[in-house]
Amino acid sequence: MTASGTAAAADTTAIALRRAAAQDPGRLTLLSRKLGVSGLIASAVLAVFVLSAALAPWIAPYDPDFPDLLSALSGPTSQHLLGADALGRDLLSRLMYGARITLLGPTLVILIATVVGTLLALVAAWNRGRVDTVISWVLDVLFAVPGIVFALIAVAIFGPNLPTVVVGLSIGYIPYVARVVRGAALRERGMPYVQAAWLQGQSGIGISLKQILPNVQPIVVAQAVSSLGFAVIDLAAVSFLGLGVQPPTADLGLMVKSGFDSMLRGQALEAVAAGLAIVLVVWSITVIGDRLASNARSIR
Amino acid sequence: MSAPLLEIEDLHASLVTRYRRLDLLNGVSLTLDRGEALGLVGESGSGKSLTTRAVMRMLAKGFQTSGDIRFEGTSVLGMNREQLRRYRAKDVGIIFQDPRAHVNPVHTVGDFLTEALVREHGVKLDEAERRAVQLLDEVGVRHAERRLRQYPHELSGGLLQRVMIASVLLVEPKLILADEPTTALDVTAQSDVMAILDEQRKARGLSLLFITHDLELANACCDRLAVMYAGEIVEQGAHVYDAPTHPYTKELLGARPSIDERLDRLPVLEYNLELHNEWKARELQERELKGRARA
Amino acid sequence: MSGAIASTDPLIRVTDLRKVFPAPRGTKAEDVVAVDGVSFELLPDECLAIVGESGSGKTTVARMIVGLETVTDGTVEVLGKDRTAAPRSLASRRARAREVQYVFQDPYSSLNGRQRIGEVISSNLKLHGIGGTGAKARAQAILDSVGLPKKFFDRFPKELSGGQRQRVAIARALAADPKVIVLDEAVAALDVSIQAQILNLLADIKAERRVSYLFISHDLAVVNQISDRMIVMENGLVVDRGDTAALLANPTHPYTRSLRAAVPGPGWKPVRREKLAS
Repeated sequence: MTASGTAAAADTTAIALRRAAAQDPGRLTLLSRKLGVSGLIASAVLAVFVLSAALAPWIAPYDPDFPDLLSALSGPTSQHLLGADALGRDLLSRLMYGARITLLGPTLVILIATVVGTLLALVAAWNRGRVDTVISWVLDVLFAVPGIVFALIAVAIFGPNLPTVVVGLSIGYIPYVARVVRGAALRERGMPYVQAAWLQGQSGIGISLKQILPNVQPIVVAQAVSSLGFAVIDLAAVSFLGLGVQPPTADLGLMVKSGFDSMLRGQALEAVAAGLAIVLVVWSITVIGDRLASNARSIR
Repeated sequence: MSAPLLEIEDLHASLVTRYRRLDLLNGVSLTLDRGEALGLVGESGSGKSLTTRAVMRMLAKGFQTSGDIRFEGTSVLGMNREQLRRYRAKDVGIIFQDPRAHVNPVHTVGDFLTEALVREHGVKLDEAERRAVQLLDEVGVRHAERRLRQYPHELSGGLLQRVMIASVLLVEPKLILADEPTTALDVTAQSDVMAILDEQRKARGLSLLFITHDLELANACCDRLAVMYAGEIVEQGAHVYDAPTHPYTKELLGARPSIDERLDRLPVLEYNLELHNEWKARELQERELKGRARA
Repeated sequence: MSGAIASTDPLIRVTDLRKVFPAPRGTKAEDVVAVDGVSFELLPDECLAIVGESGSGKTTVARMIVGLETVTDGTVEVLGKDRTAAPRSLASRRARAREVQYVFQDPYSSLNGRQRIGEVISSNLKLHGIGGTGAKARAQAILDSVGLPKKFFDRFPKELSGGQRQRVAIARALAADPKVIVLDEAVAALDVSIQAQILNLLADIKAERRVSYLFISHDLAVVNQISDRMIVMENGLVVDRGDTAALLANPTHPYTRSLRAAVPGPGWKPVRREKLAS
């Protein structure tokens, strides 16, 4: 078969520039440029929490439930690096174990909300018309109710525990994901490459998953990470209200609550440490989420 | 012989990152006299748009330049903020390819046209509007008074481009830069717009630097042509269209389909960077020989 | 439904085709009649050009033929079968894809940026029943036939230039082995030198595979180079038609003449028309 001249392309400036950027050495440098200084610091902070949470059973100095009554309400000592709470339980260990729930819960929330929200958005964007109207209406209703209220309703029906709260909270986060994904999916849907796939006879599901989804994925990820920060706060708040995990399980929100009582008795470290931990986790997640979001925008 | 209006001397522009250096303009030199029209022709990536932006000193940050651009003898690259502002507002006018991207959609056409006159040239608003209406009329826009009150989105592409031309002519800059002004227009609108630009420019004695990928169009509207490839000018003069000497120019002319005859196959471009570098080396040798011969 | 198709029967027959875009509800705007009664035929082994300026309706006609726009009135027949109504099922969409393919104007948005070139072709092959190990080899063969070397198989569109992307779009169209390819201003966004390459490629493909082209364009010189016959559209109507070379050499219709006169060439000078009202 002939080829009318090989496609020896005259590089346009755009491709040349992109090739130049791609040939820059080091994937690590690319990552650091994607995250920026603040993003790198935030990642480091978050990594500390994630690692301590993951490795808690091996590196925590004490069993988080072990009551060392002699050291109750003590400040930082050689035995308890961050002191102990009202029941003499080591604060450092409780922080590490508490981080597990504080990180795990919201992650599940965002995971569920993202999957459900993205699916709803793709279905709405692809079908448009009545399907879109119905789905958008449902999302509007969900928007009107704060996420925490869903969690509270769920707890009221099923009692306070982590799974209930997680499911309740996810429902509240679905519309945030769905709105962003729907907008992006609608934009992609009008593009010629989607029309080309449609003409070839690719199914609606196929197009939504293989053509549209990969192209909205950066936005999905960015939105998920930013929402994660809010989910951490919401979950901590629910725990603070005593409606999440129940004592004696270590949880940062719970620790803030019991820390209040300890504060009245002279030991502020529990509440402050737990509160600070929550703040740092949320801050680092938010910064990373912002960087991802701005990267996603600049790709367009 | 009076000094040229615009002189670009050995202009180099490179994009320099920490890891890489991209040479985008490799020694562009051209002159433009008062009242003259020069067509800068090239394909994408040739550097023609970059050159235009350099003339306005609108290169993005990160560009390293060397060489000089002189307007009426003064170096553009060396101007201070005030001089640059005046240069951009009064001496040079630029017409872009996509008028919609360069007009504020929430301002009326009238505001757009009169803004520069009122702000930079101290003309009273009603006088500015009178001149705007007259010019709109001259560029072929009917119901000019009504147009002043309209918003850009109410005008078609061809009409909006005429408004752009009017806005540039209103301030009577000495030099007009037109960056692919008709690429987005239909061929009949293109003919119109170029005819108007030509007529108006000649009537006022303005110079034109016309950037395009269309050799035929440039030849029809300009006194001289300059052909760009890989960031430099390979051939320039009044002869370029009728009697090209450079292989790239010849190939470019040949590659364009003709409306008068149909070929079995269109000739494919053989010219590439390798041949280009060879040509550059030869030119350098010749110049050295000539230099030595004179010495 | 007809039986066997004779070799001289038109591949596409369009009769009194109309397209009206209704004005949005609640506005004072009028309905837009984009296509107002267009009829023509595309014969085997020919390239028919539809020429017109923006707003002429030529792209809308092309989109109606493949089903990207619904038909308001009139009929579209492809290979003797009625294709006026939008495809009802996946199977019918795929069947149509094997008859008529479409190449878009913008090479930068007509390819999925996240899909590798080879994958674009082989996934299409799979849709049309050629799967498995054979698909990859066949995909490579098709890419080769449009002048893209083997190493491009795993590249992403963003690593390709406009001309190369358009070759991929053409390869994608060839994957279904269609009888007709609709090219909607397919070379308009390309540099002159690349345009020449693609036009040569299209001519080669047409000769080797015996496909017919419906070539939408505003560029008369390109149309002269590649098409055998042409129809001229203005404001939704066909105002002139005939053999391309003959029509361009001696245009009689005033609109065709004005188009012809506006094309830059040796000895041409831009000329003003009447004042513009809109």
